Amino acid sequence: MTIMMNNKYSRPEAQRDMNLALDNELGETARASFEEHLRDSAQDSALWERMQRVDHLLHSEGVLEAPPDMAANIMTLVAKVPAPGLRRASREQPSRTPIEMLLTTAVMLIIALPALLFIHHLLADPAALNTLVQQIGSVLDSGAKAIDSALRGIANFNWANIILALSLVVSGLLTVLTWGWMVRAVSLRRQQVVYRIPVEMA
Amino acid sequence: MLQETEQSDRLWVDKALHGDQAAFGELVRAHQNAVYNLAYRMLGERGEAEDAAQETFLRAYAHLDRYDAERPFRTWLLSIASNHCIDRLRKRRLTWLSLDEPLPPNAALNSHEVEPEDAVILNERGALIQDMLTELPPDYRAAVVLRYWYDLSYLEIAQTLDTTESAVKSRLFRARQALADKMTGTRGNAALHFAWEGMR
Repeated sequence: MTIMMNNKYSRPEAQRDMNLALDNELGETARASFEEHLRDSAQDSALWERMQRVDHLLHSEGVLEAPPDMAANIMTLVAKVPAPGLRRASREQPSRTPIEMLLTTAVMLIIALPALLFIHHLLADPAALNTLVQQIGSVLDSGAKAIDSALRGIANFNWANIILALSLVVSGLLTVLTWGWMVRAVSLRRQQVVYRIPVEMA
Repeated sequence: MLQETEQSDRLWVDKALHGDQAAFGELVRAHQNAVYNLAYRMLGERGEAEDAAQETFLRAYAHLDRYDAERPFRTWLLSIASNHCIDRLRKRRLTWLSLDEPLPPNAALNSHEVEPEDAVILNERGALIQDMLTELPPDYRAAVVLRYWYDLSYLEIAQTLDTTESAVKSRLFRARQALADKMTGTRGNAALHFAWEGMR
């Protein structure tokens, strides 16, 4: 206790300075008071002696040489991995998205603009609007009649109607499946590059 | 000299990023000893060290576009290697725990016996140093290896191990103290004393 008060050194402080002294990070003044503390503290002096031994021992050991064929083995493995530049290019693809979005918007406008003009024309002319409503009603009526006819056909075991209905259903399913496959193929193609990169980060 | 190495490293990295695998080969040849040595000091077994070194270079190649050219390439590589080795040591420990077998004394993560091949290559002192290192926890071991074999500063070690400078200082002190305590122990004390006297 007396020693600590004389040197104004606590044990953790002494240990901290031991570390800094070993790494040559201790200033001259701090070094002097640290050495003074060591002269007074037999316990820390013994620890310092042992730590210096460890330090010398670790400094004495050189760097091991890699096995002679290691570099060649690594390069064989590297040859199987896609070049990082290519992956970077593929990852840069999302930056093209704004251009894609602009093109999509342009196409949408080309389609949407005549539609808007047509609606505007209908709203401006009540007679044309009336005609349109009548036409829609007519289409709906025709649809209802077709369904009615198909149901009657089914009720009367009209095979021609059944085959027609089935072919409609099958063609609808085929269309949906084709679109699904196309969307999946595009999405897989985009993700393929990402999955090849090892997931773990260094 | 060091700046020249860093400049040529950057040049090779740039070429490798443009698809030149031979340039990456230059990087491998330039740093293979450093990476292998770190892996061996961390893992204590030559075969596993070679695997870890290969994995380190593969990861570096796979993530080369994430390399920050402001940092030395070697430090970045050592960061990948040390983190990979720490992961390996933790997995090794988990495997042992899952087998429900008692841990060796001092939670050593590897056998203390030196492989016959290693015994030929390593001298007695080297084997003893390795023996002492294997008794340290992975994080402490990494700090010691980076400090003594690569002469990295506290800040560089902190960046490499993704921790703080104060944590590095603390790990280094505790590691040194643990090693110092081990030197006073009975096992290998005579040989260590001999090694110490031989250095004087």
